[in-house]
Formats: sequence, structure tokens, C-alpha cells
Amino acid sequence: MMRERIAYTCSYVPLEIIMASGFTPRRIMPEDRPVDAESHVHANTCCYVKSLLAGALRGDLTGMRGIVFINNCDGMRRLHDLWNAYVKDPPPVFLDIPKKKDEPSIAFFAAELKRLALAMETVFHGQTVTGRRLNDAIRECNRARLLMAEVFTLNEIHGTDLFSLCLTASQTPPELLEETIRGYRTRASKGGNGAKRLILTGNILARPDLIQLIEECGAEVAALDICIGARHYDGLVEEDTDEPFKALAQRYLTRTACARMMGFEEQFSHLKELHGRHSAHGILCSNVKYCDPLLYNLPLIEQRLRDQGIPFLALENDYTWEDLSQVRTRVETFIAMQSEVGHV
Amino acid sequence: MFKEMLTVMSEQTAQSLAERVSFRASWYKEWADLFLKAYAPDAKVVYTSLYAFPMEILAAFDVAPFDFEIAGGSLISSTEWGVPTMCAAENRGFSRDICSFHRAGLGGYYLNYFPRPHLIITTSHYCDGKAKANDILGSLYGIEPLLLYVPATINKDSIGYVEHQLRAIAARIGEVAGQALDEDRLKEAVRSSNRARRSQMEILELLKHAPNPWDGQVQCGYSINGQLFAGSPVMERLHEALLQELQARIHTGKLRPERHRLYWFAWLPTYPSNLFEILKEHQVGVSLCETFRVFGDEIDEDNPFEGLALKCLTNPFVGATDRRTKGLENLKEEYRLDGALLFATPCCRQSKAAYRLLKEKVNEIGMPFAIMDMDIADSRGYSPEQTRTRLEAFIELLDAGM
Repeated sequence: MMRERIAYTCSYVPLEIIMASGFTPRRIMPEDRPVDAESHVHANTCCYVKSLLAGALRGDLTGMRGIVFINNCDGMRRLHDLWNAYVKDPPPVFLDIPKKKDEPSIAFFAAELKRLALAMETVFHGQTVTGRRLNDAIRECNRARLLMAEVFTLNEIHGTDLFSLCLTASQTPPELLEETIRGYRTRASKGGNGAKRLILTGNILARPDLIQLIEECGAEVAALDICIGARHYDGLVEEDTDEPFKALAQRYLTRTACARMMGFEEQFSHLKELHGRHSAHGILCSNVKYCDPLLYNLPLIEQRLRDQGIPFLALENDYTWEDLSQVRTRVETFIAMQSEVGHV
Repeated sequence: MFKEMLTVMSEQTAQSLAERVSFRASWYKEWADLFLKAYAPDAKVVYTSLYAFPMEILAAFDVAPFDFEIAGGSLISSTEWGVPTMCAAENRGFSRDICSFHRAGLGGYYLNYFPRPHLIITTSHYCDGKAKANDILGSLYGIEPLLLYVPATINKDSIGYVEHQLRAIAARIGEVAGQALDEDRLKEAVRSSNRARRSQMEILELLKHAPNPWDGQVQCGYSINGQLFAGSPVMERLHEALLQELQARIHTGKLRPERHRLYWFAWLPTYPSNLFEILKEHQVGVSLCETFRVFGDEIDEDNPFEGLALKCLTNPFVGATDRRTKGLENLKEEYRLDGALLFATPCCRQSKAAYRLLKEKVNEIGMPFAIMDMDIADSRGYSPEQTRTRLEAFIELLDAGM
């Protein structure tokens, strides 16, 4: 029998707890136009948040058992408020998460995770999250992480295929991921062939348009450092421990950080390391409009990368990538400039 | 430039105070003088988010508190230097989609206006942008900022977590100040804060008077920036001076005529604008600002860290939107409110993303609501005509009793 699904909206939501309570986690990435939510949320709000609300108001998520919101940013917290007032179905639960990763923060987050496990049972009527079930789910997710990590390190799959795999993986129960990956590795075409290699970093990217465009412009996406990309699979949870909640808290707070976390220096170092590891020619950042954490990081990232001779281009977008023509011009120019300055 | 601006502010307010006693002049003088201390060669400068961090802890040490965000967004942006200062950040790539308060603060850094910090402390509330602005500033100065993370819900774990962080931050301040935490001094800071809170409750009582005895613009500004003095006798003195001034105004009856009374959500423009002038012109008073309300209990003097943790956790800008409308039904009666206005600066997502919830609550209790989309510190998009049109449409609603 197919398990009921629990929706989630951020890579920081621990899937293991959803699985251990007998549900299947499903990342929500609607195709709804953000503008359709503007009667309910201020227009000047994250386009992903608006798209989520637009979809929910249309009833796109009816049939889901519940949704887990996380206090990852102001926009998402306010979406939870609006959800409580105007959506209600599926019912939401809210999880807090610190923006730092010291021991007290890990201890607090572990306590929050216990509360989430309880809510799975009391709000969504799932099964009790026992230590055994949680450890089973941890092993499943770790296995999925290792499988995906292998794909990311192969350095051989075309960016479009890599993105397509990440997108599918975000909608696939971790325990079924192996088959999905095998299928992709068989079908995927190899990248390379002397194309310029770019790191694609940023926040949420739900459509392949940008990556297709990059490839059409003669470049290759060597790494996907986005919400549903490598960051989502980084770091393992300690297995078979007596303190699985603490182990989960440790992994989720110490995995490769997104811009929501404090620690600009570490976030910058990660980007630079990624660039070096993949022998890339430049870094492209896809940022959904009104994502404050990323907006604050960008100027210093750009300045420091340029100081070190690493080309960088930030592409602000409305999440739906409705108008690609202007983006095309910028991407073409960016790639052409790498040729001129001898970065090929 | 900023140091000179503070010096002029201090001198002018001193002159004004020599001529007559004035709460407002006293406040500005104390503000200028305290920020000026951060420029002293031997000052131990601690950057802090003064309106969110419990300043009682800083009051327990010999340090000079400074807030680059308030310096840029509130003070510099009230002058012709505001936009050029923001431009200094924008020219380095900071988008105009980030809060103008932070652009002004970061611009002040690039223009070398501010004293160098020994320590940077910030908080997760009110917004993502503030924590990130401090993160970036920390990188620019080569100092790792300390973040006080305040969870969205209040329970045993969150209280313990915030308390633990406050203790750790106090220890770090002690290292910078070269002095161990004096528990008695902290307790006295807490007692002082509680005494100021009691005065504030008395002021809140006076604000129920019609016509309104206090200018809404000053109320909003003081309720935010005045937090700089929490835990210090200065705040007690300022509250006391304000109390006396309001009592005197009520006693003499020299008050502006008032046709309507408003509840004010969030902030105010720091640059010169006609916003409050239009309200005055139409005899609309701002009776109560949400930022001046008292949301928490007195701080436990015997357990100051736990008490201060609770102070942070009960902040209305932490957690769900409905915290901000708590008790609004009663306030409507007590303050004889006729409507509510949300000042919505473009990048303040935490305050305005769910504005519709504020609007519906206000409408539910029988008052009209207006959202005033207007920047807090960046005057470039300011249009006096649009401000007038928007406000006068709202005043028509108030006149019609809708």
C-alpha cells in the first residue's frame, strides 16, 4: 500500500522523522505563478513562498497528509502564518531551527526534532517514532546521500541530466532512490568535451531552463550547489546511536550551509573549494528574488571571487524563469568573456 | 563625518536644554553622548542590535555600545547624507532589495564613519536581514559576530537555550571589557529596567487621554531607539521626564485637536516626509505604537538571565504574526482607537509579508486598516503626493466610520 505523503518546503526539514512516522516526504516545488498569491501575501516577498501559497490556495496539495514548515527564513515563517489562516489543508506543523551550529544549538534543535516526531503522531496521526524506526530511516537516508554523493563526484553527467535527477530525487522516497539513480546513470549523456565548466550555486531552482540555456551557450554545469542539489545530500547522520535526535540535529546543522545560516566566511570557503574541486571556469548564482539571506551574501562573494580571478555572475529570477531572453544575453556574455580572458 | 554629526547633535541639544527642559532634547543628547563614547581611544566598542538585544547585559559592563544599523538608518538617513551613504553600499553591489537601514549601515562602514568594534553581537529577530548584515560586517572587520538566536516559540527548551546564549555572550563581553560579570551589577541593571517599565506603564495610561498628549512620530522613534538605554538609569530619567511632560500637557490642556485616533504598526520614515504632517493637518493622532507596548512581564531580578531570555522570547516580532495583534480588542476600547496603519517599508518581509492577517484582525474588531508602502530610510522613492493621496483616502474611511 502506498504510504501517505507529507509535504516539506526546505532542505533543512529532517526527512528521517517523516519516514519514521510512516509517511513519505515530498518536496513541494509548485509551478504556480507567484503573482497569483499577491492578494494574500505582500508582493515584495520571496517568489518561491508566493508560488507555494498560490498552489496551496488552488488546492494543489489536497490529498497530502500534512506539511512541515521550518523557521528557515522570514518568508517561510510568514507563509506558515498565512497557511494557518487561509489554507489549512493539508494541516501544517512548524519546526524551529537555529542559525548557528554550536553545541547548545544542536541540543535545542534535537529537542525541536522530538517535538516534530510527536507532532507527526498527534497532528498527522502517524505511527510513533521509535528509536528503531528512526535509526532505520537514518540508514535509508544515509544510503540515498551516499548514492547521490557518488553521482556528484563522478563529474561526468551532463548538467541537464544531473538537474533532472535532483528534481526527481526530491520527489522520490529515499528508499527508492537507488533504482532512480541507476536509470539516470544509464541514460545520462556525458558532459565535458572541452566545454567551459561552471558551478551553479544559489537557492531554489525548480525548472531546467537555466541549465539548458547554459548548455546552449556552450558551457557545462559541473556542480549543482542549490537547495535540491549537492547541499541536500551533504553529510551523514550517525547511525544506530542511542541519541538519534541529537545525531539528526548534528547533521542538519553542520551540513553544507545555505545562506540562511550565520557564517559568511565558511559559506564563501565552500564555494571556492567547490570551484577548485571541479576545476571550474566560473560560478553562476541563481537567486530567487527577495531571498534576503542570499542577497546579503552576494556582493562580498562577488568581490572576493573576482579578487581571486574567479568569474562570477548572479542571476536574479522570479522562480518561474518566465523571461529567459534577458538571462540569455547575460549568460552568453558571461561565457564569452571567459573565452576572451583565457579562462577556457 | 558621523562623529561630527553626533558632536553637533550633543552641542545643540545641550544648548536647547539650557534654555528649557525637554524630554526630546534630553533623549537626543543622551543618544549622541553614548554613541560618541564609542569614539574614545580607550573605549571597548560593542556593536549590538540595540532594539532587539537585551541591553541590560551591556549595562552591566564598562563598554561602549554602538549600533551601525541605527547609526546609518536612523541618524545619517535623517540628513542629506542618507542617500550618499546608502550609495556607498550599493556601489559595492548591495541590492536595493535589501533593507535601506542595512544599506545605510554598511555604507557607513565603507565610508569609514563608524568606530571599529571589538565585538559584534546581533540577534535573529526582528529579521533575517539584520543577522546577515552583521554577518557581513563581521567579515569586513575580521570579527566573528555573536548571534543570539531567539526561537519562535516559548517553552522550557527555548528559554533554556536563550538563557545559555545570554550567559555565553555576557562572558564574551567580559573578556572584551577585561572585567568579570558582576552579578550584582546585572541585577541592578535589571531592577533599573523594571523601574523604567513601570514608568512606561504610567505613560501608557496617559496615552489613553484624548486628545493625545504625545506626538506619534516621537513615540515610534523613541520606542525603538530608546532601547539603547535599557538597564541604565538614563532610561529611567528619560521615562520620568517624559511622564512629567505628558502630565503637564494634559494639565494645561495645550493639546492638538483630534478627530481620529490611530494604532500604529511598525516603523516610521527617518528622512523628512509629510506623513505625520498630513495626519496633523487632518487632526488624526497616533495614540499608540505597537513598538511602545509592553508585551512581557517584569524581568525576574533574582534570575536575570532567565528573565532576559523571556524578555527576548516575548518580543512581538519573534514568532507568529498574531502576537502583534494580541489584546487589540481591549486596546481599541481603552485608547478609543478609530483605525490602524501599518508602515510597510519594502524590504521588511517579517513585518509585512502577512499584512493581510493584521488587516483582517483590525477589520474584525471594527476598524479600518491602511498599509503605507513607504521606505524607512531611503528617500529616493518618496513621493509627497502619493503619500497624501494614500493617507487622505484612509482618512476619508475614518471620517465615514468604515
